[in-house]
Amino acid sequence: MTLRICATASLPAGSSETDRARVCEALGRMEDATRELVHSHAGLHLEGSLGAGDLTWDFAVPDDRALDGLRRRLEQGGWEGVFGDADPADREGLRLLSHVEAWVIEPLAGKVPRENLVGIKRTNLVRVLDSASAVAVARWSREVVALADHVPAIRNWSLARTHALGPSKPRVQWTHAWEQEFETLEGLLEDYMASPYHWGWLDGWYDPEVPFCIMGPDLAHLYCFATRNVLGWSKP
Amino acid sequence: MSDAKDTIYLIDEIELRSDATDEFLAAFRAHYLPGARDRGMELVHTWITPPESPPETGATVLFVWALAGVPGFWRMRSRNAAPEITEWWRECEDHCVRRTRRFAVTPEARAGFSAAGKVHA
Repeated sequence: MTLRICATASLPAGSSETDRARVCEALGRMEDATRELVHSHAGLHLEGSLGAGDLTWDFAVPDDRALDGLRRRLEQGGWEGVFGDADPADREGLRLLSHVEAWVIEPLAGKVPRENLVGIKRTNLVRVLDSASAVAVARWSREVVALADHVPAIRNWSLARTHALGPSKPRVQWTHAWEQEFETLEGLLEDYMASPYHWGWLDGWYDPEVPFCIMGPDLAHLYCFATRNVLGWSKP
Repeated sequence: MSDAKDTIYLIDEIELRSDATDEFLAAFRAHYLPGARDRGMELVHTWITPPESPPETGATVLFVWALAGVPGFWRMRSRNAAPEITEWWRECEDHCVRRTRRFAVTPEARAGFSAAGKVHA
């Protein structure tokens, strides 16, 4: 079964728009360059994103064997080794990347009724505190996915556990990824943020002033224009 | 602000240990209220129930705050992950048995709030 990996990547401060776009396009072509990858898409974070790098790079491998192969290559040669598969022009562009963190997506729940949707990809990475009880985490898991019932602008969604992949030491040890695809930016910035289910209940899991909060204070809220559908890659 | 139709009410319910009411309210006014105002929280009610408690039973304090709509909610949330706020709630634990924080709207405003989450359905 196809396995998705969600990565965040950073460029040096002050990188030009041209360089940023160049890196993004090069990452998107990695599925043609690297034998382990079957899908690849990268999008620059839009203004308002926070918590993890300058772009989200989603890619996928066909099965566990390919993932193991990729893991071994990363142990041996790091990301530079994998990017060495790219054609010379892309390889040069990928040298601009200053930091890459990658997370294997272990799906817990998901719905992708619009597998051809190309719109906005939003990735929310969170860290559940070690002190959180299993009962509380299970309840949060049910309640966060129910947001899609309250915000119909969420067309596709996935909730997953995350496992670090690769040699980079993550700045934050994310435990879960809550990903969505929207048709329009307004669906995220307006409907999602204005839903009373969101601010009036669900947000308590993340709010440090609410007694039942289970999340660490770091949180990645990342969104970008998509040029292809991502969540459909791992559709059962 | 508290009468506006888009007001979001934040309700803190804090069940205190016996004989802790006055000390708790003094600490609240000194250590929490000024910062809360800076985050856009308007304290509209402070209620104590029951007015007098039986021996060894603490009172419950209810703070009702008003936030200026959904933007006011997110403004408050963008500023509340601060060490001094964490410290306040830690201090609060010395005075209280349990507490909740909930959000509410008026019945008249409820449908409008719900619709705001479904504009781009």
